[in-house]
Amino acid sequence: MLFSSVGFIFCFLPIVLAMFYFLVGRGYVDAAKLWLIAASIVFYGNFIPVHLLLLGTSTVVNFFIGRRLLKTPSRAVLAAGVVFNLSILAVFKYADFAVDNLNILFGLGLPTFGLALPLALSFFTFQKMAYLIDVYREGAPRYSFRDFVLFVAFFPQLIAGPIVHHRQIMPQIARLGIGRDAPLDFAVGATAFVLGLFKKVAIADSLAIYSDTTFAAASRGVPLDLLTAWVGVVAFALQIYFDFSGYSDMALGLGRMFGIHLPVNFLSPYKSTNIIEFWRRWHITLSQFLRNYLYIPLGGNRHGTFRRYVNLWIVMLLGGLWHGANWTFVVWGGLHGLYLSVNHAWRELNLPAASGRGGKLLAWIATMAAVVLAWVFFRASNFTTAFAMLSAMSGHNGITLPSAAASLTAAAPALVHALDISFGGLVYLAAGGPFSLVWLPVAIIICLAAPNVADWLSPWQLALDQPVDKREGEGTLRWAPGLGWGISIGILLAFCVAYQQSTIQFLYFQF
Amino acid sequence: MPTANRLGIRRFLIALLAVYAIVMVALAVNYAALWQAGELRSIDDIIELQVRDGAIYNALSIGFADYKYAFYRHAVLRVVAIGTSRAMQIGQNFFHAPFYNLGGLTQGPAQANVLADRLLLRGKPPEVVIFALDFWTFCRAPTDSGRGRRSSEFVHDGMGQPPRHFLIYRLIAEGRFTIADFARLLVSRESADDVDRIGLGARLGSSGFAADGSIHSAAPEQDALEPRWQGTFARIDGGTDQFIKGCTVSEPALDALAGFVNRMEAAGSRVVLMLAPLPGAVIERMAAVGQYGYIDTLRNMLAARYPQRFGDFFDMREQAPDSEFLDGMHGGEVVYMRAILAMARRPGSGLRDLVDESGLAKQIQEWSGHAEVPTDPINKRFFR
Repeated sequence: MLFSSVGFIFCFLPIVLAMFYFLVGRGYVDAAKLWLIAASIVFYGNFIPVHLLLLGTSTVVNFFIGRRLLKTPSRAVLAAGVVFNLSILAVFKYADFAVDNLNILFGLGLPTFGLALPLALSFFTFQKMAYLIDVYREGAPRYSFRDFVLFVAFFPQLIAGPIVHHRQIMPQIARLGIGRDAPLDFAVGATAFVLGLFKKVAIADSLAIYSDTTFAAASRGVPLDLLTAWVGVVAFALQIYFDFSGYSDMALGLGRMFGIHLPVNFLSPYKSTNIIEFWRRWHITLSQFLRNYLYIPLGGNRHGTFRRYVNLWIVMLLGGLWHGANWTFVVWGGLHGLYLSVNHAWRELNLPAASGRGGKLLAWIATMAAVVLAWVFFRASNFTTAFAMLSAMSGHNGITLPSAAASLTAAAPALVHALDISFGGLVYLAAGGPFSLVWLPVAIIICLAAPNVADWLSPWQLALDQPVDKREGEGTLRWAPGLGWGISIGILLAFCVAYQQSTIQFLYFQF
Repeated sequence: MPTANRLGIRRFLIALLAVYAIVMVALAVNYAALWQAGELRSIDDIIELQVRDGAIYNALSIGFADYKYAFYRHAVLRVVAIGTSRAMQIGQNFFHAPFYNLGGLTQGPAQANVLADRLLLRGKPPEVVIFALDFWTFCRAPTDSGRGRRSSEFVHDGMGQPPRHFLIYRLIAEGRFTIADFARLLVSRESADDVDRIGLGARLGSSGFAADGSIHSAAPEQDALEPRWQGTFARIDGGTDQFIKGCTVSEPALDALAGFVNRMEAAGSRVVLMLAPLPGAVIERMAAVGQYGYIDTLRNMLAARYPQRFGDFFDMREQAPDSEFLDGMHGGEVVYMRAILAMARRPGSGLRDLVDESGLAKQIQEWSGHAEVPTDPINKRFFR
């Protein structure tokens, strides 16, 4: 059951919300928590029921290891807990990858396990490891089993984050329903949810046609022209942003409807003018996890410049591998490790920072070019496809322009010949129909000019720990509860439902 | 956090929940109609019903390609027809051997290769593939530099899958069905379990697919011929869609066809190529307008390259009267009977022993001059 599905929006969610509000309203807070746990189990079990066993086992084992660590902070117990969690990841996510590589390297011919990847495995495993490490390092309050289960299984954040920290969520669970402004929570939450739905259904899914068809064509060996290849890759860059940030907005909105503030995950990353900034804005909760539980334990920047770069690379390579058991993800992570190293080196060498409009524009172009280039490896299912796309993006297969531009042949024949320009045949750009192509510029404009949802709703504190925006009430498009916004958000919801081609899975569900 | 205005929140919630409730009711009505029409059945279920009860299928919210792929995989067959909608009239009753019609899935030779990759060459290939060719899929338009990639390279999903959530309202808005149609459907005594017709297109519309993949129309034949061609004449005069003027024969399309034939034959399938027919009135209009010389070039090239496999039925004025055509683009069942029979009777034909020659000859004789055969068991049962 996806957040964007009609079944979720018009059946599951209203039932869960209605019962929750009823229980909280009557003061049955414990029952409301149990109700949310039950709803989360139904939500997760709706995908592949048998994977509930894994989620349940992992939750129970981590809870008791945490209890043990609370009693006596033992390094051996922590190690056992970490090994347990990593083993789950290793078996379900990386075993076949390892076998494939061994077979290639040594020609062993070992059979693969063929295990289905449990949904959200990487997310909930990281969440629990962080909990164990924190308990060992600095202790934690003694949570009840019920609250712990709700913390790990709370359905708005269960599948694809934000990766929540127990210190962020547990206090809210403990105070669930107490002193909250339920109508306001619902209004703010519903607004964020619908805006996220729009980002996912209207924008991300519309852009998918370009990225899917171009990458599929490249994988079949079709020689794509320069324009088509770039549109395909840029479409993917926008698709993954709107898909994942749309999901995150929906998660934040859902959490808020239940009175729980989740941490923000995206802050307009494509406005970044350098890679360091990009990673402060992109998948923020993963970045924080990698920093706190990998980069800093590795030594961070405390052991000199060289070690710092090595640590950065290790973190980014593993971050890449976290996304999927494929070398293309490792290369994606490696590229970002390289970018970050260059960015840090640039700063340490006191090279000039981007200043002025022109400088910032150049910095933005360089940053986006680097990010888009790396997305090629992230999206391609193998290196052959990735290099075919890169080759096409470099103009190796020539440039094709729309037939309407054919008059250029007469106007500048030398240019047409020199650049190997042909006309017509931009079939991949017509794949989604003319209406669909509209979403590409719309998506770019939203990315660059519009505030992100968390910022937009910041006066109403959509996200956890977000500073309150003092510009409350400024501007005509600022959200405030009222009739106009109620109708607008309702119509946007209706549009999303009507526009939906079919319920398309979120990209990050595979991780 | 700013102090929330209680009245503002109340108004927001009332407005939002009112729209939400309207959408919910609209969805409920839509899905009730889809359920009643059988649109919510699984494809496996539909196939089972069609095989068991011979139901006609035409669901509008299920991917056409998904449906035909699934049916093909389900069937154990020896003969298959591929092409555009102009291949859909070929039916099981033409053959002794098990047959399935994949018409509507391939818009030209390049897509036939995709179909081969995705379906025909997966598992045991069929003994014979009848490929109904369309002349316009070999058109290299004057504006085409020749280097461009054709649309056929990446998809062949036929009619696709429209958004389902508000489908009935869209169909009403497009004028395809009326509110009364849906009201009738919703209060109909025929339930979703009535399996004679599955899907909105079959329940409320005028056509559907039989279990052999062939199309059957419920619309009565028009007595007057002229209205049948008018839409096609407009396209010819405008030089649009399938009737672009001044084309040359596309070498990439010919190469793709050669590739398809070679690959299928290497896998043990015989490929029979037929240039699908147009009514005489349309051919005459094209001749009058001119600039379609590439079609004759194409016919000669195909005949020269595939002397054994190719049947040229583009111009059937000497064999079939125009009354045997459904419209300006599509020959009727009898036209295709004539073409298949002629192919089967050629020396060394790949269709010999597979076609029901005497049955076809009898049907042709009986229904000459008609677009469809009303005694066809499917037509008789569902539409007559």
